[in-house]
Amino acid sequence: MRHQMVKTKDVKQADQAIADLLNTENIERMGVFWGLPGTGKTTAVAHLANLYDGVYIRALGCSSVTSVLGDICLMLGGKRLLRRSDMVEYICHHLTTEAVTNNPVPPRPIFVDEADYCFRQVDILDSLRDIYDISGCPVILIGMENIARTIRENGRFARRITQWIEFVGIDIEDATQVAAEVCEVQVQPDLIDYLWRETSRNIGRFKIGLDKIEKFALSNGAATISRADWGNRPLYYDQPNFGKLRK
Amino acid sequence: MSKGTKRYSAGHLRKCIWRSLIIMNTVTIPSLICTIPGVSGDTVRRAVRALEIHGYIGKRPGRAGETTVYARTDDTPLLPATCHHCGKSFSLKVCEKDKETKKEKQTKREKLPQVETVAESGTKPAADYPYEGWHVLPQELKDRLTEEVTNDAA
Repeated sequence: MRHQMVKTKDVKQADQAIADLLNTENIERMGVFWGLPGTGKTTAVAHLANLYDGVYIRALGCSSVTSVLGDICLMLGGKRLLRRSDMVEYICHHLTTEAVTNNPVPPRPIFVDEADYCFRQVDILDSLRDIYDISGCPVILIGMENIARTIRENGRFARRITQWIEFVGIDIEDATQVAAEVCEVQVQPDLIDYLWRETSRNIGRFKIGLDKIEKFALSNGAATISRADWGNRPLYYDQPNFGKLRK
Repeated sequence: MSKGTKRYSAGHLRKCIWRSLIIMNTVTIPSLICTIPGVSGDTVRRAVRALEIHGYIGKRPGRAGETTVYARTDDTPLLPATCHHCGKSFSLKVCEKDKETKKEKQTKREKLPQVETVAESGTKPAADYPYEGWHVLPQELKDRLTEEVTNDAA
């Protein structure tokens, strides 16, 4: 397998969303990424955080305002401070200024993973809003599939979100692109279609299946492989479906 | 540098690797190549090896033939510029606190005072130069020169 990041539609949308949040003036600089597990959110966030030199923190079920602000301070090379206002000032200063030379730096996005927990305390989101208002650095909330619904039900927060990016998984075009860029053998369209239907748009499972297909083709010395060549071999070992138990 | 790759400074690359580790908890070399834009496999392997030597990441045990999985062994949220175990650069192949590097040894040699010795004259070796009275001829030398001049005159 060739190791490279394939820019699927979800990744391109997320990249564009962060670029818009960074470069557009006079907007609320908050975005939300959500989607089902296995749609590539974590890999995309890691790629974008490295691309934009972002700050990444993870909210916990027991998180409070102080703990979230403290985590951001630690990620910026500081310490947890006693007062929240001191921590917000520290964060805003170090997001926009280089530590050693005190020169201004381009704004850096803040990624807050498992942001569903942030909605348990309103003050956490208010503090994040203060940070992006003062520093101009966008805040991107990442959550599971219900976070968007939770935000929409709360109009106060919904108005602050400018970019809503749902990771829906790969479509057939993305699947063809992934197979072309990553696989070292040529996979015929009928096999790509079969693999895509088996994976239900899950890019993680798609990659696993593609890896198996590639290994099979390489071990048989084939440069291309089609649905007929693959046959009825199982791609995955999924949960079995049991019928009703007879007494 | 091949097309599509970027030139990263070593510090920035280590920072990206650390950030990927924090986000994904465990990484492999292929996943690092995917999440760090425009970097080559060899560069990532070298940087990962440097972090492993200095005790910041470790390999997870696995079976032979599987891709090696790395995890953090240090809880620091932000990777420092130098290793805080040995206090030296990450580029060193060994993480030993008391071991002197070549540069340190050279600096130490340059700072040592250079002692000049007077060879085979039987006189006492010169102390720190310029020492007090360095411009004054020693008495025995003065006597010898005077005797020569007198002999020549004679």
